[in-house]
Amino acid sequence: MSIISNLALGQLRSHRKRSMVIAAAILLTTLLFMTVLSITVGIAQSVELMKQLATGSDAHANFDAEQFMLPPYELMERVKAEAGVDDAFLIASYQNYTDDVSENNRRVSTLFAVSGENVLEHLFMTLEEGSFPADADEILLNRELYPDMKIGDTITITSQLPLKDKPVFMDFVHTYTVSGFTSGATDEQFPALVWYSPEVVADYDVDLNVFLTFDSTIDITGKLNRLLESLSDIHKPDVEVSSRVNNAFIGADIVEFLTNPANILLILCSVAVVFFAAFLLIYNIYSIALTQDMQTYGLLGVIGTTYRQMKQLILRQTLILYAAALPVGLTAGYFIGWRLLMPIFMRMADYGDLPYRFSGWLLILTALLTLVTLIFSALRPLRRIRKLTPIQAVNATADTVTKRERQRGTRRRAAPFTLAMAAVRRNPKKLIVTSLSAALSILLFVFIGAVADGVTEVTLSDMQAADFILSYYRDTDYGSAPVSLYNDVPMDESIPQQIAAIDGIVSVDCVRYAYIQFKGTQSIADYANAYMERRGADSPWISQKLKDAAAGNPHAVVISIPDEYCKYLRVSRDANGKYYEYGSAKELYDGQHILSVAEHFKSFGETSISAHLEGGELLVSGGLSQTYTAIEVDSYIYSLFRKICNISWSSSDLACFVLPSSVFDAEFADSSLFAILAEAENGREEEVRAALDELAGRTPTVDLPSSLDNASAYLHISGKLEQMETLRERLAAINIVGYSLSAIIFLIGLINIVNSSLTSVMLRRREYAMLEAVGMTGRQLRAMMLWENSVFSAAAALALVIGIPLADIILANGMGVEVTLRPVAAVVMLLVLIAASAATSLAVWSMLAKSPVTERIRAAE
Amino acid sequence: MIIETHDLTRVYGEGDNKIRALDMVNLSVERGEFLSVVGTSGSGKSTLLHLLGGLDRPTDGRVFIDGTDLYSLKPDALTVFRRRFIGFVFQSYNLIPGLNVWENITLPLGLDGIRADKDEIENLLASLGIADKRFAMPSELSGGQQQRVAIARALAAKPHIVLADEPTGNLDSRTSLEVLLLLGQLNRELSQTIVMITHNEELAQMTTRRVHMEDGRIVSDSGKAVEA
Repeated sequence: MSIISNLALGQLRSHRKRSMVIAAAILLTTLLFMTVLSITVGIAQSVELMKQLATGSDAHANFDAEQFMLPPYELMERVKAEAGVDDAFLIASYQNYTDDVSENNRRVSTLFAVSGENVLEHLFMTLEEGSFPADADEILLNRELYPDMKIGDTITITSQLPLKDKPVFMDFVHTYTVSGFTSGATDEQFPALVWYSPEVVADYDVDLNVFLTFDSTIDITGKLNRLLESLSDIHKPDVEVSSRVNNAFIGADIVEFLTNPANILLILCSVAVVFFAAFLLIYNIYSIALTQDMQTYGLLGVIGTTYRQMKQLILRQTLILYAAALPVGLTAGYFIGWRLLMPIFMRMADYGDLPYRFSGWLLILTALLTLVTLIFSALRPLRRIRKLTPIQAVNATADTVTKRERQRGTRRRAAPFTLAMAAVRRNPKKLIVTSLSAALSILLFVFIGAVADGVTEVTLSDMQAADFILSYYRDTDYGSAPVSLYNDVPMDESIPQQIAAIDGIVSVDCVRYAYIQFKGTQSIADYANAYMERRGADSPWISQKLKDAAAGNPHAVVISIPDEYCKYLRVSRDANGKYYEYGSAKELYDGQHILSVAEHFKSFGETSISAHLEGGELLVSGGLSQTYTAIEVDSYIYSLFRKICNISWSSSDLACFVLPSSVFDAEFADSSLFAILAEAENGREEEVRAALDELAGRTPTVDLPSSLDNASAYLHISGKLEQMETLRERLAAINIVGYSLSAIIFLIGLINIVNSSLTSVMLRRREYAMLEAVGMTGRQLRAMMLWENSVFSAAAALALVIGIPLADIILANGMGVEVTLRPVAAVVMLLVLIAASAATSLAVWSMLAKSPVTERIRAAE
Repeated sequence: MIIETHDLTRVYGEGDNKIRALDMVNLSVERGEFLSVVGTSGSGKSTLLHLLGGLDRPTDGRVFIDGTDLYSLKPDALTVFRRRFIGFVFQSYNLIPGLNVWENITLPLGLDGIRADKDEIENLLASLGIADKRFAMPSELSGGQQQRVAIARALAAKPHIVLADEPTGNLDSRTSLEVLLLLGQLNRELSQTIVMITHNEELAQMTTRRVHMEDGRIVSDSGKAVEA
């Protein structure tokens, strides 16, 4: 073992307690970094995973197999062999799948034919039972959707596939034997999966795609372009090759991610907060340690230790402690940061159930960040040595008298207060560091608490406006959903009166609707024609409404919102995802304007915008008493109405307009009831809820058009109070995470202050003993210590007075909500730190004072 | 000459508080001399020793050790020079508390990347009478034993000169005598150049040359006439 390592070990051994404190600081730092990184990774993964689960696959990109001359399976193998490609697989989509075993004999979904078992994991599917199909006559079924089937059963499936030689859809019927069952995690569950055989669907123009994953998610677009370029020798002539990148990875592409300054700032801020908290703690310990070891370092300098070797010595000491504390810190970080706090944080963001993947990189990054923090904090104090000659270091004591002190010596009266002030003046840097570290700990403490409050505020601001919302829902394979306005299933007009009659109800308002036909514009006709063309002229899915739109007489649904709820309409969203509500803009209520909803939706792989009037265009309809000027709203209707009620419509067939009830009621004497918004008296919500449940229970279900899976609608209760129930857990989670981090910061602050006070008394024990020797009583000594303490407290309080308003401004700008730090929490923490500091000083002094004065003077020498 | 100083001056403080700790000192030491510097407290003897060892920086003047102008060296080069050519013994021993006797003694060699010759160190320990303490920690040793370890450490790298700052200041008279006899023995048997500071005239008489200092100046030198 080298002499430096030996020396490092020797120093660690001779300062066991100090080494333990440093190891604890490293552990805390690791834990903090792991927690922050886990949450950052969780957020990044949730965005990516949500998109992947929504798109149904983790493939990075895909392209049509038909564009290439090679047969599908040969093409797949060729792609697999290309540089940078990790995996490739085939997926064929068989549209409008129905089977012969479901009750209603119809599932509006797609049957996928895939190239092999490896595709399952790319589609987030797990084989629960049985095996992957051995041939094209076997099938895997989703266990949830086929609870009564078993392996070996047969099932006949009908899909609609376009014929190869003419653009018409024909039924493709095939009988399969069940080979196994799957479960899936994607938003839309795949009902069934078969093995893709080109021969079986030889007559059909199947939508067959090659999906692929690259070695990494960096620059997917560039990699895909290079891949297609290298496949240029097998492109079909005169076919323009098209390809698609999985949207899930657009935001996750590290290059694109890092070009967003907001993302960089967020990461840097999170890491900087931890770095600074940890730096303060470790720097303080090392700074105090250096003061204690100043003579040793001086001596090492005397006997020929270079500054570089001293740095190595500190580094090795640090690395030894790092090696010892890191595994414990990483383990604690994994369990507390990744397994406990991250899921809580994600749950509070409603992403709790996603299949998060732990990566070894998280450990490596945590270890690296901890190491950088540690080295930076540990080596920083050593700079002081450089400014001293070896003999100054050897002779250094904690009580070095300054020139200023010497000058003031004769003018000063030896009272506890003046002595305390003299001690403070002697070491102003210590005062600044101690006060600032205390103030920063407190600021971080209240800052994180305020961030938790801010998140709560944001969460609450996202809730629906009315206490209770009653509307028709139906059950689907994927859970319950509001009945679409397209289905025109109005609620019974007697229900609002029944609700108003419930004791404890304060107000009842209605969301109503009416259908109109209006004078279409050229762009609406163009949209309808383009949509019908994509569907195919013979498609059974082309409705009369769409044909009317193409003919210049589009249909529309006009929705009425109670005037006082119009302000909650969410009309836009900025690049950061922040919503803007309609507020109190007057033009919607003037009887001259109408909101025209332009919803983006996907159909046949292409994005369309629903039939709508553009801003400033006139709505002219025989069903209306006057013309209205359109205010265009580019929004999903679900998002637009999010705070008012849950809603859906058929954006492909209908236009959608919105009016406040005061205007709507004058226009439509005979409208339909869509939803009821009810407010309950404060404190009587439970009682009202029970009565509403009872009302919902006795309200008969309504039959829906037979084209839907489940043919009945029932009265469903949602609203703010319902959301509060589910949010309660999330809000608790926000507080747990916020206050856990605050507690760690508080602990760091406390360790810092106790450490500083303890070392200060230990270093000045000779001075105290000498003061006692010349006649200072124990009481006067304690008074002196408390005076010193009060200066630090005043400095810390001053730092807080400046820091809290500053942090308030940062919070208000950063979170976009009015959040104020809690001065009471700051004052309480300051008092705790002051008390801890004073108690430590007095306790250490009492302990030292047990031995005689002469012994203490000698020991200190 | 192994040591030469030219007009060596060291001033502490500024303005009215200026203290001239060393005032134009010219001193030459021959190889193999055992020189004692005697003087009252504040006479400048410790300052002289520190400047001879490159531990402090002179306000003016130069120090040559074996022909090398000490203060023309850069800080790290000066440290390495000190490590290789100068050994120190202090009044308060200054052993590293976390290292045992053997580790303390071999520390300067280790810092230079040199593997200690086991036999040589054993001989050194034996000649200093602490062979049985090689693995003891400093806290387990008496004052005299600690000072012997400090002397052994100073000698381990075979320095050209040994500078001893009141090496007997913390020892009782019997142990002081033993330590001084030991230094004398090293001087005679190994021709080791030693410069020792003491305020004990009796002990100073046992060295080969005595220099007296007062107010930062050499007032008498048994080796040669003092320059005006």
